[in-house]
Amino acid sequence: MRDRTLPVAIPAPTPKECKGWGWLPGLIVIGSYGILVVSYANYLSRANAPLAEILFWIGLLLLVMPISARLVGETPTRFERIGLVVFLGLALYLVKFSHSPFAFTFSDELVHIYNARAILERNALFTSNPILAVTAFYPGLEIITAAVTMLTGLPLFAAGLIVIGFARLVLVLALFLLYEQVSGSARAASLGVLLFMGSSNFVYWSGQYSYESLSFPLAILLLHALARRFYTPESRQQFGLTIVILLTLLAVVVTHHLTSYAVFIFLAAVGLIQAIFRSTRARRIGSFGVILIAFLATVTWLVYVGNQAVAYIYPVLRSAGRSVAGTVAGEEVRRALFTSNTGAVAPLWERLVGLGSVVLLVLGLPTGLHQVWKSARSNALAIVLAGAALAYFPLLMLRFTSAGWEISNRAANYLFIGLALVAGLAAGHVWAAERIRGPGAALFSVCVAIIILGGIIAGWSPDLRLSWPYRVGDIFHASDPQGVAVANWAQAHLGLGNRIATDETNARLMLAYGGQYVLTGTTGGLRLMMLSPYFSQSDLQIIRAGDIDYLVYDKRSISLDNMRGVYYRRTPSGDFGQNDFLDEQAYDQFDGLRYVSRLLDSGFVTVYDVGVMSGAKPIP
Amino acid sequence: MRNRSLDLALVVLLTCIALLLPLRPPVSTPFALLLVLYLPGYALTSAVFAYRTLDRPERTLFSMGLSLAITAISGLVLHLTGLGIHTEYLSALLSGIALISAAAAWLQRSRIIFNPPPARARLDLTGIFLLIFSGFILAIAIAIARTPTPPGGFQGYTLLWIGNGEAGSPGTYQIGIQSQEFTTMGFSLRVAAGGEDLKSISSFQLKPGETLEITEPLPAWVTPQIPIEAQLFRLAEPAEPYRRVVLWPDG
Repeated sequence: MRDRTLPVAIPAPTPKECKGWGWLPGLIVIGSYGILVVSYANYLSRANAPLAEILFWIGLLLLVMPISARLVGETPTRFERIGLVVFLGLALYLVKFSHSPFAFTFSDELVHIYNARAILERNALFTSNPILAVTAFYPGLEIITAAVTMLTGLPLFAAGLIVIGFARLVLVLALFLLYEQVSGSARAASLGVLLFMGSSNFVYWSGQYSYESLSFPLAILLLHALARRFYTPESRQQFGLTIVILLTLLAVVVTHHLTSYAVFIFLAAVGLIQAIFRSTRARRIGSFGVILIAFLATVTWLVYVGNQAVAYIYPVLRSAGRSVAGTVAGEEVRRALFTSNTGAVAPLWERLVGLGSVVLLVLGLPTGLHQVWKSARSNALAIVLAGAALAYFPLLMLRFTSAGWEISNRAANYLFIGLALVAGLAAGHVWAAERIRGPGAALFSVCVAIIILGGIIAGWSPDLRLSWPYRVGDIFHASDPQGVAVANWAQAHLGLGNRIATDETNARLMLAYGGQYVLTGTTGGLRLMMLSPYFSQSDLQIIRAGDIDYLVYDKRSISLDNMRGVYYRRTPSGDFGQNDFLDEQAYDQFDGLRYVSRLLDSGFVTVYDVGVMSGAKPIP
Repeated sequence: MRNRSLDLALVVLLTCIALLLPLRPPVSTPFALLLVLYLPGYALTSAVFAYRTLDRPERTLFSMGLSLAITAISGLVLHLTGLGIHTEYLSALLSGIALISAAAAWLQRSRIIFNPPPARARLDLTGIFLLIFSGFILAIAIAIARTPTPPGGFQGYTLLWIGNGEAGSPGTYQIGIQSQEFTTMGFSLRVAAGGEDLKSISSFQLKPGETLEITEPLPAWVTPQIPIEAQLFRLAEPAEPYRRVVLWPDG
């Protein structure tokens, strides 16, 4: 039986292709200027100065366009292409760093840094995380971060930055080698990686300190090793690649639930296509062996950690299903695109670029699919990636539903692996050698700029894209926000692990910096209690049921928003309006109650000791 | 023979430096980082793949990716075996993997005939200058990113807290004030219980970042049923309390 799954052979690189830095140093200098401009834009944004936003976009264009114009050409060596995509990937990570250069500020980051801190404090895993329980049971990222901190003495923030930066390096390199393996071309591979950076999650979401930022690069590495293994005849090579596959698979399984499921689905799809195409028995066994191990490892871990992942994912899927049904039936209002959850609407040009990026990718799809069909239709991996590209666009429809948006956003990361490859093949064909000089290369770099900027626009809320003020002061002394100072105070004066009820923002700060066990959100009537204008008997029941030791009140209404509440407020005068605060009666309701001490007052934040009410302390 | 094991000798040397030498940060930091993020993966890659069958990018990728995977799995193993994730166990495990893998790689390399090394990309002086220059630009970018925002238009704040005396000093209470204002600020403090003053400081100044902590004896007549109230005033606005805390003292 002829094996129809063999790919096109990758020609061994010639010495000329291997060496030569080409324009790499010069383009790195230009890109560095781009980063400098982005960094300055973020600085201006924190100071509420004008021009911040326009400088941000100019910096990104300076970073992306020259590299794009170079990569579309035929002349760069393989080495130069790898250098350029690696530099661009890391530079876009610096864009995220310049957004939050003092501490982790994204809501998920604060949840994960608590897990890392718990490993350092207890020398053990699986310490319960009260905000996102599932994260404690997928500790791969936190183990590595804790290891870096333990062995280097670096603070957790620096260790986390290094680990995620390292993971970004793995991602870009693995993606290049995977695409090269599938397409047989370093040029198509570099264009594919370039276009992958247009994924809406690439700059901010995948740059944050969160488990998926590590598991996703490891998953791409696994796919590359798998692709290499399928098509490597030499047994010693196969053995080495099997070791790589198994170790990265285990690491993915203990790092992130969704990525491990995505890897399994991907492997199963490859196996199915191989079965349909009736590949040789040896290859089938190799393929199904890995699929079986992936399945067993994922399920074993799921069972071992007590179905935490199911409890986390199922409600999201259920709400998305209801939301889709409601939208189709006309019972639910369609979600407005380019509008943040605070109601901020993106300007017209942003909406045009965002839509333009989707249109460009759609336009590239037929040509890219044709290229896959022409040169790699016997390659199971290429077929699955092409299928992922096709599935990407229907999934975008979920963005029109209120609860389906998250699924679309999260799944897009995985499907974009296929879409970027197909788009890269399309770009390589359309901008063929004879057409790439001068205006052709410029046009391509404009298209890439639209796709990457469009991804950023679609991926992150307009008002959060640039940095908010976090550390304020001068070179002699600078202060972090009140919530951070209060969390540090809580650790020093109250000890670790107290049960503290508070708003969404201070809960994360108390978790990450205070080491407290926090209760927040609407569960158990907490939010109702904290926002009610007076203290009642039902509030007492809630405090007792939650076994609450302390209450932390933040007067600012923005404290209910876990993405914006962490920062200093930016105002030209420093004054606040009436709408900036919660009802005064609500946050004063515990004043004057017998045996309720008002332990701390920082202006916006107040800490009450309600231990006597909950029964944690005896009545004196 | 000498050349083809130079990388492995370097792995052993760096691992030993990270493991054995009593260096302190920041000197030890690069060695420790290598031990967590590169050396175990590099050594294992060298052991499981035939010599020079991977090109440089792929070898680098596998070294980095495997190191991440090995560190994550090592932590898990230490937890599951009950040893716990301690610095010494972790560094011993990672070093052990690196050294054993390096030894295995050395053994397999000694049995094969090796090919000439692949061509390397060479960088001319202009390229070196440009890379150094870009490093300089990136350092400025990071320095700008790390510059605190000027305080104009922002409100500073001051923390006032109160608590019972520490376990070793019963019958006392503590008051703390920490200034996170942007300029030196003058304050006054008044502490009262049951309508009577317990403590009063008419004027004091705190610089930005400065903390003042006071421990005071609790008069015998202040029982757990009488709350202690502390009020902090700014000298610039002496009529309006700036911060206020209340303590119901322990029995």
